[in-house]
Amino acid sequence: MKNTLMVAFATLTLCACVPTYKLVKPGAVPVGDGSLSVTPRIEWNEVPGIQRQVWEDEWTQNGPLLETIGFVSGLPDGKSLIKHRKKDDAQVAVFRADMTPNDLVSMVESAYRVAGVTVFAVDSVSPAPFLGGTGLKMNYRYSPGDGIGKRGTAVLRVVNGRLYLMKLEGVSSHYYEASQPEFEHLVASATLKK
Amino acid sequence: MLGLGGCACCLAQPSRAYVLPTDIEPLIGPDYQPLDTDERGIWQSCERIEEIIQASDRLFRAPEMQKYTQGVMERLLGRPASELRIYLVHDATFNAAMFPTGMMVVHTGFMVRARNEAQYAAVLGHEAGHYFRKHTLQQYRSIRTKAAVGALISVGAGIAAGAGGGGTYDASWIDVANGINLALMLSVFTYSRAMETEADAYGISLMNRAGYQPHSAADVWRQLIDERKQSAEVRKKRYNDRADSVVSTHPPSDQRMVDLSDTAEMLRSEGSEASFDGRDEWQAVIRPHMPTLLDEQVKRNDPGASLYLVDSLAKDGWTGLLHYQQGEIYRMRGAPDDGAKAAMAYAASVQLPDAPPEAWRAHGYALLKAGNAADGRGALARYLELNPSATDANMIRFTLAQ
Repeated sequence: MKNTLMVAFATLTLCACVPTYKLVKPGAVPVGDGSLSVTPRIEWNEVPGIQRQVWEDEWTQNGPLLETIGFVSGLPDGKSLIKHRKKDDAQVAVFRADMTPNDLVSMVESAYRVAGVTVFAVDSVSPAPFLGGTGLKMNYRYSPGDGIGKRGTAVLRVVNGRLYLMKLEGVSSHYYEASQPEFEHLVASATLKK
Repeated sequence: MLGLGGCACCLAQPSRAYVLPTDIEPLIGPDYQPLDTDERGIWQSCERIEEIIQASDRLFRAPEMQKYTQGVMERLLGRPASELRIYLVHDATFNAAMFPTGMMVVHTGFMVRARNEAQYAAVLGHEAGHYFRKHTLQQYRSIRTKAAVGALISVGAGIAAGAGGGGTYDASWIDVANGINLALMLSVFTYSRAMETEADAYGISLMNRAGYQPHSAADVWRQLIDERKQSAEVRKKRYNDRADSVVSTHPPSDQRMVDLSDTAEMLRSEGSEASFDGRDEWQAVIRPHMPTLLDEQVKRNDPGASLYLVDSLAKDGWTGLLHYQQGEIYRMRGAPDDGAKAAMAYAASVQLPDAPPEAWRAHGYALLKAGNAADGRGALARYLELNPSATDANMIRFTLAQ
């Protein structure tokens, strides 16, 4: 009996520690630290993230290996898209509020390269409406180690010195394109907390 | 994810057990086939890994470079190397790996650092040493016996990046190969001290016989050690010459460099006249790819290592490409005075005839940041003129219209 209780306790403890997916229902919903809101038309799953920073969120429909939509709700000047140890050899470029479009694009690219991606190509960079003003939209492709190519779209804008970013990435065959209309809708629906 | 823990580049341990290059004979010939169950199992895993690499977008598709590499290997062996299949792979880390089936993987991160054909041959020869001495099979049995795999499985996990990064994926072909057979990959990347020493000695004997300057083998490590020291200095940490674990990046070893240098000296004292470094040949074949390969390194934002590499290449003369990449290193590092340093590097780049179009873009934005709108716009316009179909042309036009 004692052993059974211990196993039950261990199981409960383990379950409590394991992050789980949460359902995101259609309708206005805050993301990241709550300063950014979007309005999904369909249900999504919020991906659990142990090391995620406070302004980050990530959603998926078919699993993160196939497609994700990522949010950054106001990265402050001096912070990085990925949390690093100070002594890591390779680090994502730190965000600065006065970054040029060229700086922003290479900062996003470096987030992939630092994670080990070597084959990364930017297909296009163009101005795009985002959060009531003109932001920047970049389309890109990259190759993970398994050879299954992925495509991505990131929309970025610096507002009051903070970086707001929404990003779709998915397997090139089917998943990226299938999620594109909903992603475009989410970008168009995005608003900042007043 | 396994780093450069083993292989040609992976001398995880100093090589104190000195091995004379003349003492080593190959254990297998050109038509070698697996002998027992262990070997057949390893070969099956290797074949799966090879299929993935063959189909991967990460293959460095450069036919002339492929032919050149095969030529270097055949010169080393002194015969056609039909049993060896060499895959050049886009990976910015300094590494190469040899599998028991004859599959060799060479990273672009090594290629960008090699200064001449002899250095390239040094690493290919070392990897061939692992193959002809059947090191993977020996190490596989050793690892399995020690039941080390279970304890190390956790380190094979992939990288999980945040929303702003690359999402969830296996970043390297090594991650995928780990999933197929972790014990095999540990064998490939964590050879013992004795095996690395033996492969070094085997490689240098091949170099000597083929007429390659044997000192070039030590030069590979000298450069890498210097680069790693500079990388550590910039990140304000202590340089560590040894591997703490199999997830460490490639641990160059001072002792290994000394042993290789001593061996080269011994060969010279015994009358070796091998002196070919193949610098011109290497430059001719690698030059067209340097923009891509340097970009792979610089975009990782390891400023100490990248500055070391660019400064070293510039000893042969500064080019527009090198100045541009120097500027990119400063721009991405973002230290307090790096903006000014980057601006100077871009300005120097566009003065040279071989400046890449991107140097004009960077120069233009640097000028705009500095408040020089007229010249900044002029530089951006020049970028569009040089590259009218640039992927960011719309963004540049938008900036110009502001």
